[in-house]
Amino acid sequence: MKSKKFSKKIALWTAGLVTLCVGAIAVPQIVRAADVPDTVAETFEPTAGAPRITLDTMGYDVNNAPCAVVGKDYRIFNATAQDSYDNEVKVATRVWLYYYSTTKSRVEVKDGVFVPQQTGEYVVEYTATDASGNKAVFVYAVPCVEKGALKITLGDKTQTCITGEKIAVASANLENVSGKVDLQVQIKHKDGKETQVLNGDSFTPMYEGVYVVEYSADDYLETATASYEITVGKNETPVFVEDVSVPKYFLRDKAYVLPVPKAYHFVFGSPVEMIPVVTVEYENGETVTVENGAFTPIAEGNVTVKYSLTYGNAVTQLTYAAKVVNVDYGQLNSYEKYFDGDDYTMTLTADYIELFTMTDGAAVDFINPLFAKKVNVVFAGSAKYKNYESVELYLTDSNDPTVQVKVSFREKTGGGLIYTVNDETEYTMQASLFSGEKITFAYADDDKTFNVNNTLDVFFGRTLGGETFNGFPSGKAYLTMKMTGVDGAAAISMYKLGNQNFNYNAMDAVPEIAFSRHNGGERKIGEVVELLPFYVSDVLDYDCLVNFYVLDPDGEFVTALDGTLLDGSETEYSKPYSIVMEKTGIYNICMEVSDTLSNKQLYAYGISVVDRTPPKIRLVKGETQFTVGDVTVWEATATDVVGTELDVYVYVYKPDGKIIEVKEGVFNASTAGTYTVFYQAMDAEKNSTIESYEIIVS
Amino acid sequence: MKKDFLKRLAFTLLACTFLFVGCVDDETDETENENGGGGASAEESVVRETFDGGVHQYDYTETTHVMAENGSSGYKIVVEENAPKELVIASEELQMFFKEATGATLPIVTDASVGYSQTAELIVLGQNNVFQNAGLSTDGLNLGMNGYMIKTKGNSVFITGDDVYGTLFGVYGFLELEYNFDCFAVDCYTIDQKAKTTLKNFDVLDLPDIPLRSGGESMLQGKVAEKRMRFMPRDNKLFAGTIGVHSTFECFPKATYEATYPNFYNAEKNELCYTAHGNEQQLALMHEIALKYVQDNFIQNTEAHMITFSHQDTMSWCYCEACAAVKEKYGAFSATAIHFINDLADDVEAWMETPEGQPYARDFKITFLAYTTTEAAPVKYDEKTDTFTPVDDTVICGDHVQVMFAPINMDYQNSIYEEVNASYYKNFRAWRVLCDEFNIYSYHANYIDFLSFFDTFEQLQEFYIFAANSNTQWLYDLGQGQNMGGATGWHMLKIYLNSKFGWNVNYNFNELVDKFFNAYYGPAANVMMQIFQEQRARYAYNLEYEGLTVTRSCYAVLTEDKYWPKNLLDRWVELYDEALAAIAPLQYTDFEKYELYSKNIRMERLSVYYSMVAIHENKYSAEYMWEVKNECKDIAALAGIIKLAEGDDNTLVNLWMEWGIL
Repeated sequence: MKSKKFSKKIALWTAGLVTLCVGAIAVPQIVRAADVPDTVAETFEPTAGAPRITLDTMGYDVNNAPCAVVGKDYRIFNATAQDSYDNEVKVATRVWLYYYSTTKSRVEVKDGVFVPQQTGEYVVEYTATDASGNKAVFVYAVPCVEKGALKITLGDKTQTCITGEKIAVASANLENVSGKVDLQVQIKHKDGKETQVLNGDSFTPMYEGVYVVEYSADDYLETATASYEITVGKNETPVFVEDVSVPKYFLRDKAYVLPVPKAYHFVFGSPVEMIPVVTVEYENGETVTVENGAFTPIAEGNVTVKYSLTYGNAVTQLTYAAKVVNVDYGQLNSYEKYFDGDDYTMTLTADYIELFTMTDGAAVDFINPLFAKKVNVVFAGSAKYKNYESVELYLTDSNDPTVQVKVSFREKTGGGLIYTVNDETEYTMQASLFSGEKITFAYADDDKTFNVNNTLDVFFGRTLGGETFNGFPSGKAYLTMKMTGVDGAAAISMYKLGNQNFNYNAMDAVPEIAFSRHNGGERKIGEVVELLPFYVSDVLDYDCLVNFYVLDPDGEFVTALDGTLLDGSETEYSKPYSIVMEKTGIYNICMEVSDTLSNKQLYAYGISVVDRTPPKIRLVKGETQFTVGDVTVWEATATDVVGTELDVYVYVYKPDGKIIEVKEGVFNASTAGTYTVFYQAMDAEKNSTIESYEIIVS
Repeated sequence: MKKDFLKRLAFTLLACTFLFVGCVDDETDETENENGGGGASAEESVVRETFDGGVHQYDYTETTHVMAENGSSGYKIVVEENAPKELVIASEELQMFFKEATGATLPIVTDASVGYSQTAELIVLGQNNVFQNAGLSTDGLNLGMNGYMIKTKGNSVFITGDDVYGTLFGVYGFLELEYNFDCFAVDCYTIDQKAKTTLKNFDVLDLPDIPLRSGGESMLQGKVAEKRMRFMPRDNKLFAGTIGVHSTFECFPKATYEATYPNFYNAEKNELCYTAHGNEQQLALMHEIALKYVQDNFIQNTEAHMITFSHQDTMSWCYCEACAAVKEKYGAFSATAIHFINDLADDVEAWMETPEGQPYARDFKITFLAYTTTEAAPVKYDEKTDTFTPVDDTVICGDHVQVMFAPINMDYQNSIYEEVNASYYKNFRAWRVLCDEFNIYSYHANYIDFLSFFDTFEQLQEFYIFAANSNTQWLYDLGQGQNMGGATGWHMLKIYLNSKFGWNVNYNFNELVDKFFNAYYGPAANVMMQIFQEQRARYAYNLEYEGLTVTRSCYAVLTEDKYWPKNLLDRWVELYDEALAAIAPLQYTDFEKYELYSKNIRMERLSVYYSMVAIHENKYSAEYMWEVKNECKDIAALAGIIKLAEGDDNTLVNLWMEWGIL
């Protein structure tokens, strides 16, 4: 038996097969050779060492290619071929009708396009042959049908509006689609004053005049367009074009920076930015003007935050109601003051905060919104003051009060605890509301599930209002507790929220950090990694200081793809950044968080970048048949993944089983037989590649 | 000690001549040297020996006489009445394999029931009556214990050695010639099938180049495969007394003598003192005791010709004044042993000439170790002429003295002609001028790691050629002595090659390897060959560039990242998958073969899997490692691999526990 070269499957060449372009796949060398009847003129046998054909399928499944349409240009997938010895190998492309029959006929292909003239199955055939005559063949089928052109039909259109007001655009219905379709909607001012790409189903015109809403649909074969016009008149009043998020509660003596919504007037037919006047009106009638957003509440009670735009006689206002609460900000242990309920008395004890009421249906809020990714509420019904029927727990989005869920708890007759989700579904468990036993309610916004005492995970499918619940859009939720059926002294013992315990001796807890998805682990060199935003939460102090920075393996700060230097000075932790893994080693993603009382939390995770891509060895093909005497081996070069040239070590396996190193490209074959020449290259990360070929010496 | 200086001198000159007789073609050797690198000698002056002293004469002509056809035969197998065990085995093996090859069952009869005639159809095993009556003889053929003759006379075939093992091996020789029989492992042999066998006119004489060969693999010991691979069991047929090595304390048990005669031992009491600390009286007593030891063993064992008088397994010796003086004079500790053993041999010879000893006389050999502290030979070396001469004639080994050369510190990964082995090569050549007969104890395995690939293939054949040229009588390769069932890291191939080169050092290496791969892996042979060659090419690189060339290579650490990059191991795992895919169709056509090949491939893959876990575990997912580790456990259990390394504690069970899969 001679040692033969082996039919090399794709995976053997290197550990990381290069994908030539998005959607490209490496295909087996021979497909369906057995399907070709013997009577067909050309029969292809798989050969060892055949080239490897790679198709750019543009994201399509080659076994489910888009249909062709009679009479329309059909672009076939682009193909390239390569083998280890010849590098690039030319690919011949043919298209056939009736490929598997004796009446097989060729269809003209020009510049990668053919035009089917009849329905049926067309077969695209790629052939690549290297210099040694090793041949690879690949085929795929394209069904061809008769159908009309791609068409866009528009729904109801609103064709007049005024500047600064949101207007819905017409819906688009697509017909006669081939393959995947990409629909783009663009809204252009006819005079070129602005262009907007539709995101969602509406837009806000900022200029007086005529807008054209243009629809463009691209499927695999063709493009279709549609459009209509909207006449936009001038808005005589200034407009706020966005909402802002104003806290429901302010802490007295804490410095805030109030957000300022974008606003414009359109008196001249074009948007002119306006800075609203911001005022805060206290309950006693005193009004303070907020300069540059800086607001420090100085008195408790209800307040109204007002944003005002005045142009001429036109006035537009945005108002937000809030409440200022005195929590002895900056000092420790006034935890009970973080609960606000007019009908409640809050008392801090050695173990919990007692929330006491005698009013049926009275509600008490925790004044800071909780971090929705991970809500943790530990409470108990008071064993002493149990003149009530149920405790209700509400979570309400900090910006959108319509996004609200509810879980209510009541004692089961005969023992046990019943909890009800949104006044609908009931669950029972072993626990008690009236025994003083702790109940832990935990909610995770990523899953939109909660559990009680770590038992069953329950999914919030809907809001309390019956709408589909998709989590809390602001990422934060206010907690409200309510007691119902109160007919005497009633109390809840609040032990803990998040990681913050409530008792005499509890320290201010450190801020918590959470990720939507942790993306540490191992990456390849050159890979782009998106550092997903993370979330910081402090139960008592939700404006934490965050220092977010990224260090490369050399300890240098990393610059993100958008040009931001991730050194903590300007990095926004709530924003995703993409970084390129340029070096091998560990990238450290670091977050230092501290709250008002300088409680610090440092969190870091690492991304390990390891070059696992073996080098590529390129052989310059030469002779393989020699007579006894000097033999010249093929020349070879090797590069690693970043293009660095590497040394190539050449060894020859002789017929006597001994191995010699060939250093000068020539060795002496003293006996007849088969010699195998091995080439080895290794990069700095110790990835190695071996290539070989055989020499016959006679 | 009897001196026969002229005889010694003549041999010395002959030994030197022998060296040059064994030269390879200079031109070829120089060319190889030019290339350098792994495998080629670094020094142009080193002559790579060849061996042309073998007797492997396979002459035969075809006849038209039918021995077997279509499952039928008129032939009988003939053995002597009350045949010894090995002859019974020989007859049964011949019967079994003949049936497998031809379909015909040959009856086994004794020589009492048949006689020789021209037309008789017999296959005669051994020198029984039929053999005698046929007028055949092995006189002058020097068959030794393992050599055999196959002769055709009339219509009968005569297979015989001078010893039962010779006859047994002759049977396998006959099967090889007729049916290409070969044995590769305990569960793997091949034999052709023929519808018709015609009688050959045999004139075959086959003597092993290494007269006696024992395999140090527990998986073979006591199994019939051991015989099929022509290994001699390492037992009292070969050695009287202690079998092989480290016998001095058998002769001088410390419990008996230490307290009364402390001078018998070195200061540490872990070796003998061969000069009794200079006390002549006690030295004489030592000789008496040693003589008695040999006498008792030869009386008890009338068959064995060798007895070992070899030191303990330490790196120690005696450094008393008397021994130090000898060392000073002769430049080697071994001189004290030679003196003692030469005198002992003379005493034994003299005893065998007495009436009391005569019944036990034989051509005996006392063998002692050239090992660790006694590796160096007491010679003078002339660098100019590259020749050695004994320091004096007292250190020339007597006729009945053998050296057991045990080069544990050699680098078995590299040729004996490589720079790293220069001192061992030199040592062995030095010993050649002191002794005309050797035993060799070799170490072609890694004793701290049975699972990693340890490439000794580069020097294997050369080592055997060198051994043959050194008139080696018995060669024992320690191998993976403690593994009971199978092995990985191409060690099974190594065992096969050991068995073949021990018989004929000039077999074609690649032909043997091809044969093994075809038999052992079936349809996966090609892919397995690719893996084997690539791993060897990588190993050659490691030796040259990654510092794997080390002395005492049998204790080299093999699980290093720099030797086995992760992606190469991954690549080979994929090739093993290909190998398993190649044999997959056999599940439906020949399940027995499928199971064998599958086990063999998986067993070989164990080595790569082990390297993946030992070196790169943290680079794989926990799930995959769990899978890999459990496969290692499963295949090791199936194949009977139980040890990770030498030593009672180095079991695979302990490894599984460390891996958390047990």
